[in-house]
Amino acid sequence: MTTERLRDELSRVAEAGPTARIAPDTWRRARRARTRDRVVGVAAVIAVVVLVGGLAVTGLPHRAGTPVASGDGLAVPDRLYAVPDRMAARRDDDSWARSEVTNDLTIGRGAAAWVMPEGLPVVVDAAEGAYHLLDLPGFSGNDRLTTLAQQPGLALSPDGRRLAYGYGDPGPQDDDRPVPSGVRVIDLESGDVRTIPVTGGEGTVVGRLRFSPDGRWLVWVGRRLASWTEGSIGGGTSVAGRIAPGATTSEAMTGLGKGVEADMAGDVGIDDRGVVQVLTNRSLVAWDGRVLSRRRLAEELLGPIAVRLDGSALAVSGSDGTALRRLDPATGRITEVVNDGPYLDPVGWLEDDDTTLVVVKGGEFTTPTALAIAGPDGVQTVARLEDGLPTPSIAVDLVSAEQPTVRRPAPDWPWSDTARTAAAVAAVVAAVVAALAALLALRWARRRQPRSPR
Amino acid sequence: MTDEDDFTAYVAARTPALSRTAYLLTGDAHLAEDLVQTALYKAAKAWHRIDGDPDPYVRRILYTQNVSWWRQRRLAETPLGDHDRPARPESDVALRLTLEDALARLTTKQRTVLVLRFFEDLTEVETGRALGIGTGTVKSTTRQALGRLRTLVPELAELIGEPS
Repeated sequence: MTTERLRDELSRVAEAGPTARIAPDTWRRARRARTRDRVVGVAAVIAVVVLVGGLAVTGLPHRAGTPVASGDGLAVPDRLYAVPDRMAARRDDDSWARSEVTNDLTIGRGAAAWVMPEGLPVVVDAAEGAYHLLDLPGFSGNDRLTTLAQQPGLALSPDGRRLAYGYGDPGPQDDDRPVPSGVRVIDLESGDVRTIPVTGGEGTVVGRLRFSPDGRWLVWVGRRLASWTEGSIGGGTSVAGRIAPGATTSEAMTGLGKGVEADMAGDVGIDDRGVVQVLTNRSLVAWDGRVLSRRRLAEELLGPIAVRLDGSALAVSGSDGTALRRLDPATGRITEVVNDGPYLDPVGWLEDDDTTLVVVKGGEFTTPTALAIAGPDGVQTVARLEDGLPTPSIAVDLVSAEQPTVRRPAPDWPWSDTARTAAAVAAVVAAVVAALAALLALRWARRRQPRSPR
Repeated sequence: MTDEDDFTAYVAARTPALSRTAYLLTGDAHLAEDLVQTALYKAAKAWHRIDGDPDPYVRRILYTQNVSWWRQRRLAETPLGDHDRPARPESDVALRLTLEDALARLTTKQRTVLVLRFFEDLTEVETGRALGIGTGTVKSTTRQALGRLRTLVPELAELIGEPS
C-alpha cells in the first residue's frame, strides 16, 4: 500500500487549514483557573469540616447497608465499576497522591485487574470484591511519559493468584545508562515479587502479557527503546519474550521472520507446554525456542488470543471484530463460533467446556460493556462493565457455567471535591433556611399571643 | 526562563503543526481552532506537571478532546460550505477536494484513526492507546476507513492502494 502518498496528500490537505489564533491571555486564564480550583478545594475542605462538625452534633443518619454477596467463596463480581479518576491524582513528582493507593500487595486472589487511563493499576479481589489501588514497584505506568509511548502491561493469572506487569520507571540516574526494565510477577497471596529483567537497547517497555491457561508460563510483547530517560522516550523496535515457570530470566523470541517481528500488533498466546502462538496478518506462527510451524490463514484474524486449556484450540476474533472464531493451531482450520453481534474479545476458555469468556464491546469507539460466555449456543452476558472501564484482565478459572459471577457490594469511594462542596453549600443553605423559618415561627407565635387588657 | 515563557515559546513554535493536525481531525477550520485553543488551555493548566517535551502531552489532549467533543455533541459530519475553506494553490486542486470530501464522509473514528496512523505516524499500539481502543480495533478501523475511501472515491484507489 502506498501509504507514503496518502501521507503526502494528507499533509497537503492539512496545509490548507488555517493556523489557529491562540488567545494571548490563554496562559493567564489557565493559571487563574488553576488558582480557582485550588481555592475551591480549600473552601470545600473547610466546608466539610464545618459540615462534619455540625452533623456530629445533630447525629448522622445511618447509610443503607451495602448489599451482601449472594455467592460464597472466590468469584468474579457481576459488575465491575470504573474507579473515579480523582483516585489516580499524582503529586508533582508523579507519585500517587491518594492515601487509598497502597503498596501492600498481599491482597489475596484477584478476580479482575486493569490499568486506569491515568496509569494506576486496580485489582478487584475474589473474596469480597474489594477494589485495591496498587502502587506497584517500578510499574511502567507510574511514569506519565512512559504511558504515552506504550500502554502499560498488566495481566492477572487465570487462577487469580499472580499479577504480572511491565516494570521500568526511569529516574535521573538513567540519563547515562539503560533503564532497568522487564517483567515482575507478584504472588498476591504472599506479596512476594519475582523480577525478570529484560536487557537490550535503552530499556524495554512491556506492553502485553499473557499467561498460559495453567498460569505457569508467560509471554510478553513490548518495545525495546532507542531512547529512554526521565525526560524523553522514543524510537525502538517490537520485541517479545517467553518466561518459563518460576524463571527469573526471559527468553527472547527470535527467528520468527522479519515480517512477524516487525508487526507484533496481532497478538500472542502460550499453552501449558510453553508453545507460543503468534498471530499476525494472515499467519499463525508456532514457536518453541524455534519456529515449529508457520501457517497461512484463510482469513485475517485478530487478537486477543485465548488458548484452550488443553492447547487444542485458540479463540480469536474475526477481522471486523464482530465474530468469534475457533482456530486449530495444528491445522490452521478456522471454525465460526459466533458470526454476528457486537465486538467480542476472547479472555479465556472455561474449564472442561467449549465456551469462552469474552469481553463484549460496543459503541462507536468499541468500549467494554460486559463480560459474556460465548459458545455454539450463543452469547450470555454474565457481568456488566461500567462505562469508562478499560478492558480488564479476568481470573477465568473463577468463572464457570454454573456460577459465572456473583453479586458484590459496590465500591465506596470518598466524596469528590465537587460533591463535598455541594454538600457543604446545601448544609449551609439548609441551616440558614431553618434559622429563618424558626425566626418567622417565633415572630408569628408572639403575634398570636393574646395581649393582656390594659 | 519562566513557565510562562516556555509556554509562549511552545505556542509560537508548535501552533501551526497542531493546527494542521486539528484541521485533519475535525475537517473544519473553526472547530480546528477551538480544538487547538482548548488543548493549549488545558496544557497550560497542567504545565507545571509536564516534564520534558510537552508536545506528546498536548497532542494527546488534542486527540482525546476531539473524541470527547464528538461523544458529547455528536457533531454533524458533513463538511461546511466552500466559504469556510481557505484558498488553495491551483495545483492538484481536484485531487485534494476529492480526498478532503472523502475524509469528511468517514465516521469520526475512521477519520481519527486514519489521521493518527498516516499523518501523525503513530503505530497501531500508540493509536489505540491515544484513543482508548484496542490494537485490533485500530487495525480493523484502518482497513474499513481505507476500504470506504476506495468505495466513495474510486479514483483514489491509486492513491491508497488496493486491498491487501
